Amino acid sequence: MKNRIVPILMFLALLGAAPVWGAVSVTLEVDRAQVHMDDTVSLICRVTGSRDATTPVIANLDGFDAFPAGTGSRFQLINGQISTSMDHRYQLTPLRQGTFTIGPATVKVDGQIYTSNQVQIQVMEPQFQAGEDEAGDLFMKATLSADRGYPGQEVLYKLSVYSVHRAELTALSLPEVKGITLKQLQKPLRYGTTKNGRSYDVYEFTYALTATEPGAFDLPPARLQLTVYPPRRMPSGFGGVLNDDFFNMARGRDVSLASQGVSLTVLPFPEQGRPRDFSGLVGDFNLESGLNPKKVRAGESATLTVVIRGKGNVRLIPELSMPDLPGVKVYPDQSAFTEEVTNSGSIGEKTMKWALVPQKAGEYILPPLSVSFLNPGTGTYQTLTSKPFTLAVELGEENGVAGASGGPGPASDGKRKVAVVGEDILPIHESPEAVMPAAMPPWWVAALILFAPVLAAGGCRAWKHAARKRAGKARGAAAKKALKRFTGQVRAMEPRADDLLRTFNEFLVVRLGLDAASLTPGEAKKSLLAAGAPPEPVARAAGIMSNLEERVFAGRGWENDAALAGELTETARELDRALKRSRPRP
Amino acid sequence: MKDRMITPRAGKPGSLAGATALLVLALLSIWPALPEARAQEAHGLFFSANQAFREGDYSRAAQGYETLVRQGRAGADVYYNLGNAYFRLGRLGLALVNYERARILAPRDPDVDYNLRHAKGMRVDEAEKIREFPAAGWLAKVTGREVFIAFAAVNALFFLILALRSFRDWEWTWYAAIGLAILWAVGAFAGGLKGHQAATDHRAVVVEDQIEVRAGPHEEDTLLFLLHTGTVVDQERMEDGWRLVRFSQDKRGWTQAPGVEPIRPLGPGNGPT
Repeated sequence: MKNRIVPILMFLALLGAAPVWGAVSVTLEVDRAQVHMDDTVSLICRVTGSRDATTPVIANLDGFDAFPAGTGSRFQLINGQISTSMDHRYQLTPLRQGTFTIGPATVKVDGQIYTSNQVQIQVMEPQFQAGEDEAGDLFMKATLSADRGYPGQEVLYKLSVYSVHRAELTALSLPEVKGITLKQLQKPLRYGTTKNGRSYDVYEFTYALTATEPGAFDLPPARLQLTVYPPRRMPSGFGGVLNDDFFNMARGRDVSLASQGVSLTVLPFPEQGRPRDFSGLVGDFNLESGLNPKKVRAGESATLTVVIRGKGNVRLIPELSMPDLPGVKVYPDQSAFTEEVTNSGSIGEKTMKWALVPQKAGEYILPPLSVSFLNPGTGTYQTLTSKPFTLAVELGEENGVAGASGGPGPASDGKRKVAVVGEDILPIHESPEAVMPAAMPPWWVAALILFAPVLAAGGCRAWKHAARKRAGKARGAAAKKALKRFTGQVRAMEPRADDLLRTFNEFLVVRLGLDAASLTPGEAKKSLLAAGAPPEPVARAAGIMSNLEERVFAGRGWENDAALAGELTETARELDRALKRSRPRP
Repeated sequence: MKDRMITPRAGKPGSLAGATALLVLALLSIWPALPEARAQEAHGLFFSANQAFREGDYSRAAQGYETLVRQGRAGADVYYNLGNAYFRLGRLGLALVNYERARILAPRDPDVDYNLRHAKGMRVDEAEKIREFPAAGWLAKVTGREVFIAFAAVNALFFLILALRSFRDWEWTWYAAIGLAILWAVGAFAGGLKGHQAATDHRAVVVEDQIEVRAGPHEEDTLLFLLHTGTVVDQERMEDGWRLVRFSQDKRGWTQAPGVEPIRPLGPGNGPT
């Protein structure tokens, strides 16, 4: 089912396609531009866009015998549009040597005459000389377009295989010679020719041969592997009807062919008249140049274009450089290079452009640009030179250039865009400080600067630590003497409740190394227990302190109590001993 | 005691000490004069080089500035003037080298920036884009010395605050310490990055009209490409009078040492060839 859908769709597309009959054109084509006297050329006159054209009338066929070789028509479906064309074929046999321009061909369609292009054919001497007549059914011939050349010049190396029978080429081995390179030009040609009344199929391979250095070069034969299909006669029992190519049941025969060797002499470049700018360019070239526009305002750009095109070693077309133009900024563009390989050699074109931006008004004469090449036909150097253009520059409208030149007035808003009219470096600095460089300090100074604050901060920390340590030691010493001081004070005073409470409080503060000025009984108990004193004397001390506090707060602080003083002294001794036994407080 | 006073051996230390003292005094008296004399000499040389430049004798001006460089008396302005002198002499490569050196010392100087851009615009070879560290842009606008001074100030304040907190636990000192710690970290990072940039800055400038870059450090090695004066390359290493340079990711090779001048290090040891 699927297989049926595709043809149906194609048919529908054909039906829907719009035929294009209107654009009638006529073209002439030949299968080769260079032939030998003993060759035939195929000429096609193609009429496109109409099938009702009259038979073409081809002009300038006086150098050839022309024989009609049939007609053919073709349809093309491109982007949904049908076009048709009719080919009128002719076989041309050269009558004499020379270069001939054939055409144009004219046809008449609906009363209107249409004209074709012209084609050029170069007819050379016969390829086969006397004595080569017995070349046989199958042979290969090597020819050079010239037996002398120059380094870099493209010489055409042509291999022609002549076969009376059908043949299939399988492998071609080209000669290899040091200093010689071969580059194939286009795809091989196949055409028919007649020699001594025999028809040959000709397979033609064309190469561009280039020598890098002068010298005499002998190219060994090229070798070709091919399969030939000679006809095998069918039995005559069918009345000879089957003796036709259509029924040819021939089996292929592998054959090896060799061409003859060829010689090439590569001459050194002539010394005489060699231009300085000669870059090794060999061939035939021409140069075109243009300046657009030829008149600009200051600050605007004009484009100078130089095109070098020709035939030869086109890859060596040099990159031209534009010399400095005072008052004009020159911006070279990337050059564009195209190369076309034809069977008659390489054809190339290099396009170079420069944007020219004049800075001031005036007339600028652009210096001519030149390129030199060697013409291998004459053996002389030729120099192509561009036209010496003149660029007329008017005052700029919107920039400072105009103002600087006393040009037109300001723009409508009274302001002008400032344009750069010149560039240069700024002047030298003359400050005496130049010779007193502000360099980085030496590493040890830098280290000192960076580490001094660190050391200072560390020193402060250490000093504070030491101070604390000293204070601790002082407290320890005072604690050791606290009991002695307390007992001395108690002994020396009257045992009043308020004095006893104050003195015992001082004893505890000093003995325990506390910062507090006075302690409540609870605080004293907590601190003593924390310092490692046993609970029993601690509880007793807290009780005595509570007793003393009650008397003081009850207004009886003046009461003397010698027994309480003795008990307090004994408790203090007991606490002191207990604290000494316990781990000393730092 | 008397005997000891009159013996010659006893008298010698006294005279030696006196002589030493006199020598020290003499040295101390001329010590400030020595740098002053050198500074005067440098000023004289600088002014004469400037005068030569103004008179159009750029060769003599360049020699004067070069002498200052060799003496270690070259600041940004000397390198800048030297670049101007070479520019006037048509030595674009050497001009660019010295403009670049001036820019290292004075990265925000508009004159240096302008002349450097102007000289770069005259180069033949098209420079290829170089990828840079994101912070390199703003960091290139300050010198290593400026980064050091800023970091030293933050460092001093930070540790001053820490020292103060040893004695007084004011609340504002805590916030100040935190802020300064952040600045300290940023400064340390910037200083490290700047140092890394300086240490890994292997740029060099082509100072000859054209140099050949080859596949190896020999004349017989394959020619890879040509570079022209003023083109900046990275020098990777040097062997037997040849430098291995990289122009771009895929253009790298050896060239003879005199054709390329490294931008760093600055100072007396790196005068132009």
